[in-house]
Amino acid sequence: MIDTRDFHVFTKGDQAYLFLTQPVAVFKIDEDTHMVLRRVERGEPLSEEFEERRWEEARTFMESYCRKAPAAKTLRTPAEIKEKVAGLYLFLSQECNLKCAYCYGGEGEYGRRGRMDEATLNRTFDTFFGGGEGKHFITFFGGEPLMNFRTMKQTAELSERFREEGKADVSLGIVTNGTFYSEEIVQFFRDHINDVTFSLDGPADLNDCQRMSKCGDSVYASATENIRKFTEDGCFNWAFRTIVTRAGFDRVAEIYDHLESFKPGGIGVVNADVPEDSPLYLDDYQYRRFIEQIVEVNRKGLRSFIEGDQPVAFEYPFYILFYFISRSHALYHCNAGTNLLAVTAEGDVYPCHRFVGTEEFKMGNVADPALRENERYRAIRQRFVDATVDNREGCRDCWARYLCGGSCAKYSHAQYGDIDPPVERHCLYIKTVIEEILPDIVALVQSPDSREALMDRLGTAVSRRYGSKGVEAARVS
Amino acid sequence: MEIEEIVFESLEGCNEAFEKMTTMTCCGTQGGSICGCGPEL
Repeated sequence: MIDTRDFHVFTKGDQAYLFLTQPVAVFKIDEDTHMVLRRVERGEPLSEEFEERRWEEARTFMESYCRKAPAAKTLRTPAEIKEKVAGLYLFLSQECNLKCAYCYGGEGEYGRRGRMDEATLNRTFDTFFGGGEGKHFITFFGGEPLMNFRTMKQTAELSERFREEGKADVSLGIVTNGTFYSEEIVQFFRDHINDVTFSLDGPADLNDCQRMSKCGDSVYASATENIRKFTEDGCFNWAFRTIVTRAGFDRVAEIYDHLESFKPGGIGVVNADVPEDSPLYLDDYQYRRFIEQIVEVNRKGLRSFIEGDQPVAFEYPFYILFYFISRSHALYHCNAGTNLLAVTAEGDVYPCHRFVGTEEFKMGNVADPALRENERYRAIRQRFVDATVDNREGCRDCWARYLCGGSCAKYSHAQYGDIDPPVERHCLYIKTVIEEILPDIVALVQSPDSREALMDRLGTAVSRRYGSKGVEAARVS
Repeated sequence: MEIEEIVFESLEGCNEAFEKMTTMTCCGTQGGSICGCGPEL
């Protein structure tokens, strides 16, 4: 029996579409069918005999299709979640040389200013990386992690030792503001770092009004000069991370074009996570404008990918396409709290970097040799295991649930004091992107030329983005 | 009633590449870096 939560109809231009949630399938449909299904989806009564007949016809088709379609593959079921901690955010320095206006970490200190020492680093490795479980990812985070370069170097040495001893294959990444540069640092990046994310908020005027030094001075010139020097020989994968506030809500395309001129491997653009009463907060109109531009940026990324340019900002089209071609279901937003954790300078463990400082989610400390068996650690971990879209009230009846995986647990907690309820803005974001981008993807796969171009480009793109230093490239056969 | 299914199966050969790319695209550092937040590797 088809349920209203298992289909969705929408239009793009003159064309109407039907999406079936369970088999992850999309159809072009005629206007009358769209009108009738939309009424059913909205719970509106069908008033005419024609509408009843069309609903019966459409319902029979959908039920038949769902029965015959191959079963969707769930990407990560609760039962499949292993104990392995694949990703760790390492808070090397809870200090920063900048005072970004939107910083959620209290100028990078999270209320506990300090730097990670070697003993805490050793305990972290012993706690999470001793089991011979293969690949792990460390992301150096802060504050500004390069303010503790000493422990960063010790991490690389320790990673090498663990690799030689067959304990773990650790890949190193960093999120940095780009203001620290020396020949020693750049050589370290060349030798040890696989992935770098530079935080930069676009053109100088935007960057300067929200990312300034502790003294209030501009850092744009020095940061961009350093970023160019860091990246000129292409020794590591790198991307930009950009925060949009009220100052730039209507300039997303301009921000994107500016950052693209540096030729990064990716550009992540998100709105500032600030309280509603903050002068940086996007009001509803500004947020809708922001999403409209995000759609355009993704559309541009998709087009440039097919046309053979450097692929950047190409995230949602990839996700959507992947879910359709493999008929996959996502049950989670991310691996936070299970296979991804964060360790603070003092060794406290949290479900991810965004939860650091939220006492309710402190899972323990790496100084505890039995940390991962402790009741508190297990209970918090289990909360995240249980938070599937099928369990989350507000997600379980949404047509987009398996293309989404639910909103970020931290955003939900910040808004509702609970990691389960979906955040309304996230829902708007995901649904808008799907309805706007899916028709583009449909046009792409229905054209023999663009479909062939897509297949040609994929192997190259994967190798380029993920083929260096320790990450084996996927090959397209 | 007119219903036309959009067929994605012809892209099956790309599954592995797609899985790798989506696995490695990251929530916290979106844009191409890797932090391990995606489905387990």
